[in-house]
Amino acid sequence: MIFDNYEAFAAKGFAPKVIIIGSGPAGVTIARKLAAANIPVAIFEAGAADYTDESQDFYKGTTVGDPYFELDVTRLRQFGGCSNHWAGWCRVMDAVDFEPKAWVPDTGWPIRRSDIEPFLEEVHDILDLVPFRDDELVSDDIRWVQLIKSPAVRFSEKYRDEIAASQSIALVLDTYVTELQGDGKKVTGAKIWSAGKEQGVATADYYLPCTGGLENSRLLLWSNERSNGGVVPHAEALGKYWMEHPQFEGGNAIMENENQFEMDEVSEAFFSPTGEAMEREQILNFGIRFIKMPYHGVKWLTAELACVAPETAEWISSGLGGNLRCAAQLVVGWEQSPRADNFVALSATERDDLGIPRIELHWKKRELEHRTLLNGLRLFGETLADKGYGRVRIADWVVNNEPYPTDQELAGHHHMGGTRMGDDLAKSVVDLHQKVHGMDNLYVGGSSVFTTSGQCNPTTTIVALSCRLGDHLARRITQSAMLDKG
Amino acid sequence: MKTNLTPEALRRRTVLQALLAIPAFALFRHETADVPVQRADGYVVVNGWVLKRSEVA
Repeated sequence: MIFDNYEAFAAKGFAPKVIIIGSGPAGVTIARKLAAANIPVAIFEAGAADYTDESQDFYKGTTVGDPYFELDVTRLRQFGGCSNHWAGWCRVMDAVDFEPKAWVPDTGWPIRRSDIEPFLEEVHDILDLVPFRDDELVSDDIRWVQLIKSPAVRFSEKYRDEIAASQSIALVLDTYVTELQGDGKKVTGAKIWSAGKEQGVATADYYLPCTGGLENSRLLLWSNERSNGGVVPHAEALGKYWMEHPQFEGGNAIMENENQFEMDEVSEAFFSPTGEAMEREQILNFGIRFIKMPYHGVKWLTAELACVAPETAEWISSGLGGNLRCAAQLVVGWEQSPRADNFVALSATERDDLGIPRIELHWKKRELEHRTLLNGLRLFGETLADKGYGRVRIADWVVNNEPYPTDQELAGHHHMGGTRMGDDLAKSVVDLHQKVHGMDNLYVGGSSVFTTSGQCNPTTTIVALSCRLGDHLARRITQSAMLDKG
Repeated sequence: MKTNLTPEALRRRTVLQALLAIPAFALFRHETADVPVQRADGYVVVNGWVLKRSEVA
């Protein structure tokens, strides 16, 4: 069932067991899992079926610290959420991403990759993926990894008909949950604004904010403020440990054999470090995107190389047989350390049209991030040189530790953390089942629960975690119903 | 196209072609090369290039 607004939904008399807030990949995936177990679920989507400027305006905010995207541009407030503009790049976080790292504080998830692996077959169906191949070791330091460029499933397109026909899922558009209300043990209701007016309080047995890696923090911070701590009773980490994937052009490579690595259909290949290399260099995970350059790039690089290592330049040129075709641009995206001083806060001065504080995002890259970028490129360069594949030139601004360029991609539009998963009440918001600490019926879906960010695009891991959460919640609700009957 | 040049001459010509194909100032931009960053494991970083130490000796 799909309703244009809350009034139409209320008139139907549908009583949901679970209220999901947000209809992006996490919200839709969890709803489908619950519906498969015949559990009635309502999805409240603040936006409309399609993009509108009026809806996006609610996402405006400010950033303090490093340059970042406009907050109403880097996400979408409509049915399907950010799946409407994602590129479709897929990879599951590495096993090493879930492990604690002695050289970086506050790392280590309360779950391991093996906890989400049982759901990867479902994830492949949901995201229309071909099977992943295993990573291939290029050296002791560097893995050649696969990043699948999928057709970029738009959840609003792929699942619209299924949801419309479902008797267990009610998708309610134009329905803004302005706050959750709670008593410190349970959420008691969700305050609704729809069709241009307040619509009272919606209730269910369970509540799941799935509003994205920025908005989940905003909703819970505001709700907690309004209820005097009744929604997130252990709020020390709420909004904190926010992370992105910084992304910059870090250098170039020149190759002796242009067919050394199999490229994808747009002439790109991807490389990451081994766990041992990360530990030895005291760095985090990274992904080097190796992009073949146009013809003129290789000439320039060969000339440059000839200045510092003439014989090497000659060898490279010789190997190319005069075609001079294979050079690459190296774009690096990397894991950011989880830090309490990167955080989402409520603005003290800026509010949306309904009077709810806008986001003030505090975000900065630190020394560890630069070390990961520099040492990562150096490791990749040493691997190419050692194997005789080619040579890497690291960009001057990276070598000289100059300020980050402001005319590049900046980051991946990947919003992670803020309601991170963990066992420590002071450093996390949800437990290993994504249930808010101390609350009986409040769960959180999406990348805001990431404990650490890894280096890869987050959607695949978001969907895997959502399958796991949907499975867990369906089991809990079903068992609870059986006990009630017994 | 056939040529009477030796393989060694071909290699040198290839490099020469590459050098001639760029504006001259690019060659001299790093005229005063950075002091190589020495690493214990046999690699150096010169002007950003990650090289084997033997290549710049």
